[in-house]
Amino acid sequence: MVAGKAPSAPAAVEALGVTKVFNGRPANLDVYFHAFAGEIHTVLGENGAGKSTLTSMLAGVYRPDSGEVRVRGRKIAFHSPRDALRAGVGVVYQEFHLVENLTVLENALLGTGMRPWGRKRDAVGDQARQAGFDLPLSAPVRLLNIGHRQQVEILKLLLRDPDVLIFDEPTAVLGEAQVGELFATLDRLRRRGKAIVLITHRLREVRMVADRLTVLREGRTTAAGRRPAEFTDAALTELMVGPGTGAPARTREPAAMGEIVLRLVGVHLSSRSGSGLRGVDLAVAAGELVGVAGVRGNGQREIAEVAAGLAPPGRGRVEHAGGDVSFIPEDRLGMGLCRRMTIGQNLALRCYRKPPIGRPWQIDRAALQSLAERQIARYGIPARADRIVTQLSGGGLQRVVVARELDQRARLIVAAQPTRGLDIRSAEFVRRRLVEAAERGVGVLVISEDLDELMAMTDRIVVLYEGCVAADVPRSDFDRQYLGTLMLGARNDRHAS
Amino acid sequence: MNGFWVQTLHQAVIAGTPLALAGLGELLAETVGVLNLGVEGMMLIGAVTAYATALVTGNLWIALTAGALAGSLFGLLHAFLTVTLRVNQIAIGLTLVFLGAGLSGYAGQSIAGAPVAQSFETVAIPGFGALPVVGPILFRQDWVVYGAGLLGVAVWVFLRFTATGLNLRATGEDPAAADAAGVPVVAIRYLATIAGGALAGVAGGYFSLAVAHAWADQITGGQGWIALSLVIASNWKPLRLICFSLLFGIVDSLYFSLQALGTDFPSSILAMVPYVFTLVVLAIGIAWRKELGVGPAMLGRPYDREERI
Amino acid sequence: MRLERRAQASRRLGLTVPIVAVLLGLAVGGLVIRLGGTDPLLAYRTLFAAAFGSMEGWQATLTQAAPLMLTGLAVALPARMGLWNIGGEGQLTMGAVAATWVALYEPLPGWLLPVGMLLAAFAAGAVWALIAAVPRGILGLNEIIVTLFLNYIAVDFMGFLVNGPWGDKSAIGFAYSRAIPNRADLPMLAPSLSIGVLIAFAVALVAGWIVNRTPAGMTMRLVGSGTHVSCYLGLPIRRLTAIGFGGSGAIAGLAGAIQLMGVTQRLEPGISSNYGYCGILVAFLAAESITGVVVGAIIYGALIVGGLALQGAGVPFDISLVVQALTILFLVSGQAALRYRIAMGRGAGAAAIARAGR
Repeated sequence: MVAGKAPSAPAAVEALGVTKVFNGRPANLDVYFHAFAGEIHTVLGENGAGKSTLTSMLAGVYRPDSGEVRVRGRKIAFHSPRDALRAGVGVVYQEFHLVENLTVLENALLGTGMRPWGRKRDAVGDQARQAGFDLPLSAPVRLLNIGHRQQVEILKLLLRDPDVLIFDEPTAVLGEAQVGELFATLDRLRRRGKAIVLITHRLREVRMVADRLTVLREGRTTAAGRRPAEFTDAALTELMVGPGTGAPARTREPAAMGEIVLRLVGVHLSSRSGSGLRGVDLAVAAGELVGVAGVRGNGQREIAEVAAGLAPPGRGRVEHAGGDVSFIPEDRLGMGLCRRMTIGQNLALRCYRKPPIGRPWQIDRAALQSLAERQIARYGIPARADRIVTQLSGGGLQRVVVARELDQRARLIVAAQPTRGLDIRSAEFVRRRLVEAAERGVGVLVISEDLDELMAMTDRIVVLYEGCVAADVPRSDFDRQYLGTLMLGARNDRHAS
Repeated sequence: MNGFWVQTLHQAVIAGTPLALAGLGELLAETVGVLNLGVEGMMLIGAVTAYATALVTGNLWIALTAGALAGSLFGLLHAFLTVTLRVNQIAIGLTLVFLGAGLSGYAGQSIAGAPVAQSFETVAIPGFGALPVVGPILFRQDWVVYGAGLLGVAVWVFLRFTATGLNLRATGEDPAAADAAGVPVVAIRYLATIAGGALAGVAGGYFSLAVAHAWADQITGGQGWIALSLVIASNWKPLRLICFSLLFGIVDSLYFSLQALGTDFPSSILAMVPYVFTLVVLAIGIAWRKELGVGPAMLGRPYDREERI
Repeated sequence: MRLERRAQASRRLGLTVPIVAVLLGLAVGGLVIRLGGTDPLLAYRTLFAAAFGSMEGWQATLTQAAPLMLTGLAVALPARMGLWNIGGEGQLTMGAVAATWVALYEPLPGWLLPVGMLLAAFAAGAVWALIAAVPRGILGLNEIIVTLFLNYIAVDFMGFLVNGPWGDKSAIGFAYSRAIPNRADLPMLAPSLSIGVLIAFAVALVAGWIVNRTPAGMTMRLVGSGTHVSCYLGLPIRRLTAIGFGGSGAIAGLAGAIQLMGVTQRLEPGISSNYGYCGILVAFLAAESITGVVVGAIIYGALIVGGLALQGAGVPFDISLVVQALTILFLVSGQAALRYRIAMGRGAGAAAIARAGR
């Protein structure tokens, strides 16, 4: 399975035929992976391809259901991340675990048992310099920008002297210049003999820095341990995304479009956990169903919040045609619903202050009940109105949110990852409702990581990459390969080789 | 400086010592994020235990140890309820005040009014003790006073310069991150709370034996609450805490001395001073030096590993 | 073995646990009583008889319950919004102070006087509470600590007034202020029960109504659920927080006026008597339900009355304090038992770290 260089020494870390199944669904199926000392090995794949599962097994978070993990040729069974660290395998996650009010030095030494002053302090300073970091050791972390925070996380790992460093989508949160700095760091680490595993979905980065690559698709290896030079961008995209099939069967008729209900002009919005928005122009007309595609972390969350009117842009303009905006948020239970309330109350969250339900000194319970029953029937919510909303599963919760939001009769609907985690019937249901709304003349903006879904429902797809609009593709030009390539940041010339 | 002031200031140091001890204990607890409002109750239970033990054994050091034990039992109870069962810290703290007040009042009935013959031996520090003015005030005190001062320095060193101290601070600021880094958050919260209780117990014992020289119901009369305010006024810095305890000890001492002199200074205004002072100091600290007067970020909140649903 | 949070509070245990907890508290308290040389059953019977066994007993219980109801509400209501108002003690005191000021210095005609006093108390309590909210908004000071301090400052301020400018020169023993005019007193329902308790009930009723049956009540719940939902719905969080805090302070202030006008007729150090703190405990035990606060206040009032009666029978009040505290501890532990269950095996740590990787 492994092509390319013949190993002269055992791999620093490797997975041999590992399989991991969650809830009946295989996240990794018979995966082979080898990373050697002194190389940068990228793991490529779409959302849900199984990259994180693989690295979680290498890092001791999960145990493989079958197959084995080896470190330097010896089979190892990790019981916890701490075991993995002791064996020399560590991870830098996308989500940082830094204590804001402690200094860089203190964060680096936390949990290591080393005293935060004197010789140990100098040791930390040395490590930081060797890695090429210019960190103010006595500054509290909360003052640091995101690139420096990542450096602190890396420093934490370096102080435990690992042989293998795994980076999970490290560039997601970084700006252009910071990416360059990070890669310089990775290069230095590689020259020191570390094995670097880099999870990414961005083809450009692979070209910049990878010695070898492994591609996962739907849990299986489609390419293992190959050199990047062996593939064109198109070839890589196909390995990640599947063979192109051109435009899929239509599931809706194009509707007559009205005036613009949403316009974003030059919108910038910075983000803690992704690229944010870096100058986005977008317009949605009444009756139009526009999709926003892209891999997580390229500005999806921010565009949803700006479009829904929840977050003002840092720069640029947002124009709504007036009236309410219906927003189906990504975080159903945390944002779109009130956990302690009943289903009926949640259904009324948009209208409980106005008649007929809301009168100044009383809530008309009968009116609320009849509204709730009506919506429960119409949207297939599988429980009674007086039950606490947390009893519902993902599908049920989303039906409540959709029911409430669509009932508002707003002119614009913003839906962020509306079918994520839903059972098939509920997902179909939600899609159908959004399509119906567009056919009724509502402007709909759907942000989704599911490219197939977007290709089926939308009139237009806008691809977000690193906070900018990579392309605005009309339905007539829908092509899975093409869109996939755009999402991965390859050059958007369709005939690139 | 005439004798009146020297005597008053000498007393002030003694009066400030229980505040310093209880304050340091509370500082440790709050550093790990536990807001222990039960200090007053722990001081009372420590006071009655120590006083009774002194009457029985005649040994003041055994008495203080007994007070520490009583206080730490309360601390253990607080920790169990708030850290393990995750009950609201404010409710538990207040309840422990009631429990401590009730238990101590009840248990102390039989010993109320009985005098303890022994008193803490004054030890002069060689050299320093002979200095004019400062000598008798600071350097001719008993070992508990010196202990409080040394403890303040020790806590400062501990928190700032040791790995375990770092663990404590991280636990109070961000228990999730500390947990991820391998810090035993639960154990630390337990130990710090128990230590806080123990120190409050010692503080109460010293108060009844060396400051008030008596036991009576509710004898500490709010010292526990003052200690709480001291922790905040000092912005959770142990060295500042020691200084402020001295200051408040002066206020206390002045009150008694003025009474003895027969002046008519309204005592209620004097009683307000610690609290107004704290608020003013905090306001100055925030406005002038940009210090955030909020303490450890997770103060008062329970830590639940599975919290995120 | 570890404690794991339940998805939904267990109904099965919902009733049995509080009962068991109370029984445990009484049992351990009984042990303490026996150690003191009294028969616990006799003691409890005396307590019950004193609080509920006669008309005088009921009047005393309800007189104690009235301020407790109000201070309990002053904690329970903002708790729904995620705010902690533990300054009830100070707000009550300042309410009484304001009412006294009106009585002594602004003698309004006729029934305007008592009404004016009540309004003044209402306003003073609200202001005292908002003083704590301002440092939180501007300086980020923890409101728990500021309200705590304001309690002490209020009590000391009252002490100053009572010993000084407003003092009754003929006072012996402890100081108190000049008496308020008779027409400022609250009318009496019974020889030793003023209508203060009716006022308290009325406030509880209105509060319960607002919380359970009006849009404002739903809004309170939403603010209490966290910032995400509130932002999502576009609620004015800051304004609502100020209203919630101020309102709860006003209710506590009202308690002060009721004490002044219905019980003591003058400003004295005992006027607050820890009602503020007991109110906090009542609110916790009631698990924030309004009915629970009313019932809890009556029970707590009974405990106080019974405790005083026991004192007469030779059981010191301290023991009652101990029994109260123990019962609360057991009850509160019981509530925790409803939220959690004991689970075997490891598991939480890896799951959390795995989530970090997503």
